[in-house]
Amino acid sequence: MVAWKPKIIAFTCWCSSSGVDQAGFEGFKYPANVLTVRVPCSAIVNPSIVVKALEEGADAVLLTACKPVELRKIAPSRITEARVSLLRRLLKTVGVEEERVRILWISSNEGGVFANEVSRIVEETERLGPLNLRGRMLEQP
Amino acid sequence: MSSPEIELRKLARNLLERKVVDLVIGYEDSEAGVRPCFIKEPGEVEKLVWNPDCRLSLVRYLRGFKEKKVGIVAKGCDGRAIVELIKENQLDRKNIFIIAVECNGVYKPVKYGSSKTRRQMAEYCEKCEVRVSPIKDYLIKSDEKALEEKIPKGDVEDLDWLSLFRKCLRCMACVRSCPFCYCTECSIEGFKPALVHRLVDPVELFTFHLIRAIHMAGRCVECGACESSCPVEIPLTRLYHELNEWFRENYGYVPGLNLEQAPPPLVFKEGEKP
Amino acid sequence: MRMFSITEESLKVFLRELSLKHVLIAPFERDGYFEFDVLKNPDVINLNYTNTRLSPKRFFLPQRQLVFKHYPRKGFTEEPKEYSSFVLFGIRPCDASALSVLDNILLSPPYKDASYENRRKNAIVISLSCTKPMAECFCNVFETGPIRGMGEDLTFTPTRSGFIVEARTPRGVSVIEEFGKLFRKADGEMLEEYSRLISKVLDEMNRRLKVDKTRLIRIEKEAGEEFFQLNAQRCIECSLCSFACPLCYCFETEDCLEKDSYVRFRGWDTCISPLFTRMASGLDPRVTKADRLCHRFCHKLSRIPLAFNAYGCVGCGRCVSLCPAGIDIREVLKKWG
Repeated sequence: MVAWKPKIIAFTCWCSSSGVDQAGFEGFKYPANVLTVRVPCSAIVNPSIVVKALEEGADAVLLTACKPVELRKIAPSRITEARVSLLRRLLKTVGVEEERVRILWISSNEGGVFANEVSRIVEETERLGPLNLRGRMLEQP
Repeated sequence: MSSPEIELRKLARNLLERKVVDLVIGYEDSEAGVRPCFIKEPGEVEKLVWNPDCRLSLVRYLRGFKEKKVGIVAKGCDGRAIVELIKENQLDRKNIFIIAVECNGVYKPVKYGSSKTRRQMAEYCEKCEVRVSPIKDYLIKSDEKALEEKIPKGDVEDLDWLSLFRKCLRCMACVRSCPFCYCTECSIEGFKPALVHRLVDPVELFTFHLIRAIHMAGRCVECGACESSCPVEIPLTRLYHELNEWFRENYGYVPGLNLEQAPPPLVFKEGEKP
Repeated sequence: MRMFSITEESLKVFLRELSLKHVLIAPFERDGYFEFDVLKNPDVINLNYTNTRLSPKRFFLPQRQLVFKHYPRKGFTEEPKEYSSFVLFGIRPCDASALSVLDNILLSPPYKDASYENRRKNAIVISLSCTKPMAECFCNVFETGPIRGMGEDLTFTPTRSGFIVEARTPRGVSVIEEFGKLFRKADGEMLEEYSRLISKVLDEMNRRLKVDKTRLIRIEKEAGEEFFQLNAQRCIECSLCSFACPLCYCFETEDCLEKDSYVRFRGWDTCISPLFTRMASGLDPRVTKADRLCHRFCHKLSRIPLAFNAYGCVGCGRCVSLCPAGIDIREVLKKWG
C-alpha cells in the first residue's frame, strides 16, 4: 500500500508565483504534493473556491500573497488576510482543523523561504491526517 | 385582542386612507398559522395581527415592490435587515414606511412531526439585544411577555455540524426566506460555474452551507428566517452568529445598527489590523 | 378471513424477529422530531408518533440515484441492478396510499419506471393507523385514511387490547403466515371495535373539513384567478412543499463527468422552482410565480385524476405545516370542492 501523502493546493499570486519559480532556479527542494495554481492576485481567490478545493479532495489550501508592506496599495493583501482569517474561524466552528487553510507572504525573490515554509506545511498537514470530507459527509450515524 | 394589534390596525387604516403608502405588509392569522399578508384596501386592515408567532421576516418581500411605497411591520431584526439593505443599495428609504413593533421574542415553530408540542422561545431571540428597529417611522410599544421557557444552550462547537449538514435536503428554503439573498442568480444554484451541482451530492452540502455562511458573514442580522423555515431544523443562525462575532471582535462592526457605518470590507484605515 | 390480532408484547417480538430477517425501516425520534431510518434495534421504535416530518418516499424515489454509468474507452454501460429488499413498518395510511397512487402513475404501461418498480417489488409496507389525527391532516377528503390506506400490505390498528391486523395483499398474508404463532384470528368483539373506530375517527375529521373531491376537476378551467395571484405574492419559491410531499415524483437528470466514465444521475426536482420549465433557448412557459403555483395545484387535483383515476394529494398536511409562508392547500379544496 502506498503511504498517504497530503494533497495541497497553493493559489499563488502573480508576484509570489515568480518566487515559486525562484525556488526552482536556485535548486531548492520542496515536496511534490503541492500543486500551484497561478492567479492574477491573491484577492481574486474567492473563499468559495477554497471551500470547493477542500471538498474536492485537497487536504490543505495555501494562499501565497505579496507582503502588505511591499504593495503600493495594501487593500488586496488585506482583503486576502481578512478572508482567510474569516474562513479559518468558519472551519473551526464546523469542526474542520483551521490549519488546513493558510496564508504565506512571499516576495518574488524569496524562493528559499517558499521551499522551507511549504516543507513545514506539508509536514504539519501530514500530522493532521487526511481531511476525507467525502467520507465524513457520507458516513451514516 | 392585544393593544398593539389595535394600534397597528388603526395606523394601517390611516396610512392607506391618506395614501401615504400603497400597501402594508403585515401578518395575518390563518388555519395554517400566522402568515404574511399584503393589504391594499383600508377595509382589509382587520386581518392584521401581532403575536409571538409572527416569525417570518417580511423584509424579503420588499424587493418585489421596488417602485411602490410600502408600509412594513418590522421587528427589531427586520429593521436591522432594512438598514443593511439600504446600505447595499437594494432598498430606497423614501419608499418604505417602517412600522416598528416592539418585539419580545418569537416562538420556535412547532411543525409537522415534532415530538415536542410545548411552545418555546426561539434560540436566536435569546441572544437578541435589539428589540426595536433602529430606524422607524412609527413605534408601537408592546409589553407582551408570553415567552418564559427557554431552550438549554450549548456551545456552538459542541454541535456536530457535519452531521447536521448531512440532514440537509437543499430545498433552498433558507436562501429564499433570507432578506439578504436578493441575487437574481444564486452562486450556489447557477450552472456556470457549478460550485454545487443541481442534484444533491452529500459532500456538496458542506460546500453549500460554508459558501452561504461566508456570504452571510457580517451581514446576517440573526432574524432566524432561515432557521425557522428549515424542515430539518439546522441551527443556521448559530453558525452565522459565530461569523458575526468575528466581525465584532476584529472591526467592532455589528450589522444593521447604524445607517452611516459602512460595512468593514469597504473601508479601512492605514495600519489597521485585518 | 383476513383479520388478525396481536398483543403489544407479541408485536415487540414480531418487530425483533422482523429486524433479524429483513432490513427494518421504522419511525423513531431524533433531535426533536420523528423520522424513518434503518433500525438495528427495534426497541427505539416509537409507536405513539404523530407522523414523520419528511415523507418515506425517499426509500422508493431517492433524492439522488444513479441511472447509468458509461465507460467510453471500454465501450460499455453499467446500470444498477441490485435493489435491497426492506420492510417499511409503521408508515401512516396516507403515506401508504401515496405509494399506491405512485404505482398508478409510474408503473402504468407502456413506460415503467424500472428503479421504482424494483424497489417497490422488494418492499413490504406495513402501516399503522392514525387514531388521533393531527390538526393539519385532511386524509378524509381523499379517502386515504385515517385507519385504512390503499397501498399497504398489512394494516396495524391500535385498540384497547393490542392491535388489529388486516392483511391487504397476498404478500401481507404470507408475512402473517411466516410469523404465524404471534398472530391470532380476530374475534367478533374486536371486529366491532374496529368498525366503530373507523367511523368515529372519520366523523371527527369530517367535522373539520368536508369537501366533495369530484368537483375539484374544474380548478383547471378556473385557474389564473385572483386566488393564485394572492398566494403567489406570499410564496417564497422554496421547494419545501414538493420535497416534503409523499407524492411529488417529478425528477431531473444530470450528467456528470468522472475519471473514466460518464455518469447520469436522477433526483428530485420541483415545479415551484423557476428553473423547472426554463428551456435552453430561454423560453419559459410558466413565467410567473402564480403560474407555477397554479400548476402545482392543478396537477395534483385535476390532471392526475383525469389521467390516472387517483388524486395527486393524500391529505397528509405536510405542505400546510411546513410552508414558511403559510400557503394552505385546504383553502384550494374549500374554494373549489
